[in-house]
Amino acid sequence: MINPVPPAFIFILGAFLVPFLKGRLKQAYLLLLPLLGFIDLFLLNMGSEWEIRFLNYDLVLLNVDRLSLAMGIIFILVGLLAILYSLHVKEDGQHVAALLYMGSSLGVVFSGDYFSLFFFWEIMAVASAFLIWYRKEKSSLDAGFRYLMMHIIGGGALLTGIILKIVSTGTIAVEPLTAGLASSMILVGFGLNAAFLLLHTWLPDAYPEATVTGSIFLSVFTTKTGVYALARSFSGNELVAYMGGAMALFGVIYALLQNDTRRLISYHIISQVGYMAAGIGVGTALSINGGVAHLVNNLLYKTLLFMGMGSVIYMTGKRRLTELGGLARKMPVTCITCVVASLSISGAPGFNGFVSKGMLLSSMAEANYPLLEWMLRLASVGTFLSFTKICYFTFFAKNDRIQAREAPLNMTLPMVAIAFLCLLTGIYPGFLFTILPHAPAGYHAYTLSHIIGVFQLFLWAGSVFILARGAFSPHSWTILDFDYFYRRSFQWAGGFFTGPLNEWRLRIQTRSSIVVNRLILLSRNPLGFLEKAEGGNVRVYDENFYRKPMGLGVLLAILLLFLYSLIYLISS
Amino acid sequence: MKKTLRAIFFILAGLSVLPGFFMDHHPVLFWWHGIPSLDAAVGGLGAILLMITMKLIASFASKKEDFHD
Repeated sequence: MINPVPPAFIFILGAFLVPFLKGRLKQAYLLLLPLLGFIDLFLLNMGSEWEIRFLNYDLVLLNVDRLSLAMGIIFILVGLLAILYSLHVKEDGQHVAALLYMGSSLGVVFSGDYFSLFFFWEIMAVASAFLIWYRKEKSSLDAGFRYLMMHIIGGGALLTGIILKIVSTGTIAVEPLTAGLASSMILVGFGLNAAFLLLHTWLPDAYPEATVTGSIFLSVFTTKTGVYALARSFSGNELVAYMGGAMALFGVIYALLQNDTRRLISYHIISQVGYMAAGIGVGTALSINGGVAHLVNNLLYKTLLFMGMGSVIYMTGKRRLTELGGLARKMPVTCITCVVASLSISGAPGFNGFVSKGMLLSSMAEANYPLLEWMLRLASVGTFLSFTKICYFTFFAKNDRIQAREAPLNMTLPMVAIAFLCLLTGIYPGFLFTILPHAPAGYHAYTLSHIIGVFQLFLWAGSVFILARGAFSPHSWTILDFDYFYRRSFQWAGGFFTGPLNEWRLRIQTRSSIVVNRLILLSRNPLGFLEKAEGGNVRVYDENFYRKPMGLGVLLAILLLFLYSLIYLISS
Repeated sequence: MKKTLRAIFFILAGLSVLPGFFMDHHPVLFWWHGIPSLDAAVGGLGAILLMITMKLIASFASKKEDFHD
């Protein structure tokens, strides 16, 4: 009988062997690790295992239930396809970082306590930063540092919350949290990874700057572990629900304004995570199922979109919509798979997004959240428009100058596989329903009104796109996000520290030096110092001049001894 | 060819509204669920609303590409 191990160990320990392997053997080994991960998942039993006593607390490294198992399956499946996509990468460091990142994400998913969760959470942050830095351009280096800094701040908030929770409740188990300072700090930590509004700026800043293959891994793990953590601890939290609605809308509006293909998709991650957060925040069985179903679907089509745009960048060297166009005939497989992903994310009938979006919208109405329902409806329109924009301007718009050919097989193969999975889970959602946390799912996606409704939405939004195409055309500009305020604050803080604050420091230092010099003078020649203060001439210190006769001291000692004896005699 | 495709698209959009008048939306949880072909209106008006919002944001938040450098 083989005992299962926490799946995180397979990837984290496995990562350290990568630099010792070469060529085909290394490629085979990279593909073997997720397969081992799958075998390990099949061996897992429901419940808690791998409990370790540490500082009088029980650390649970393997907490298995329907939700963690569903996350484990989809993480390893998409991770396998992402590894296949990145097999051509020569740098071992990229593979090591990707495996550490994947392993630590699985560590977060299967952690049964906040200590272990925090430990893996931090490995995730550091490992993923390397996937940005490996692009080795100045913009990547800067974006990677900003990314890491934000995640360190989030990690600090999370750790503070965990410590406060332990102090107030005495337990470290991952469990639903109620209101309070501890839970607020933990929410900030989780919210930063889930790209909550105002905490989201690291995502569209860093993901487009990562390596082509690195951005695939980034799109899979960080935000999704954030959503998973929210599902564990903040299910049914109204703040999370409305935050989700706001994210869904903000993400699509900003996506529509982008020129950089990967930045456009990055803003869509915020929007799609918003859908999931809304479902989790509403907290009913259908909404949580919808949120998790959307997470699984999103992992598929979002990974596919990053792969598609990654292939375009890899083959053309261009990443801006203003420079692209006319690739439909030159890269047909990439074009078809990107259209499948776009239809999936837009929620077209027959594609997986149709099912999970329907679940979420129905759950909002059933749980009496009309505002959220409208926010998500409007976000659906924006999603359709922005993917019409990205597909049109990348593949179908006229551009005779562009040179490209189809991406290599190791890149197109996982794209075709994911496109197939998008269709499979869309046509037969039963696959998806079996892994959702609340069984049975009890949702019928394919009703006539739902199908016709989606077609109406597409056709009318599409008509506006055709009529006002100029308004949706890409432009070579940067759209300022909230990071403008962060950057300005840090610039101001930097200017303040090097300017006025430094001047004050110099002044204080000068004054202190004067005081210290005077104290030195005082200690050298105290009486001379006093004479100077009185306006007299300062004599050079001569110990023979100041020394008093010894007899005076002896006389004083005798007098004091006499007084002491007298007092002693009287008192006794 | 392009113009024909466009015309077909607009005709389809127009025709798509019709089934909404002969079909019930189940379940009607809020009053607007009973409006025939609501999704067509959401698609059209929503797209216009998003376009206006986009333009509004772009009017004050768009800068040169090297702005942050």
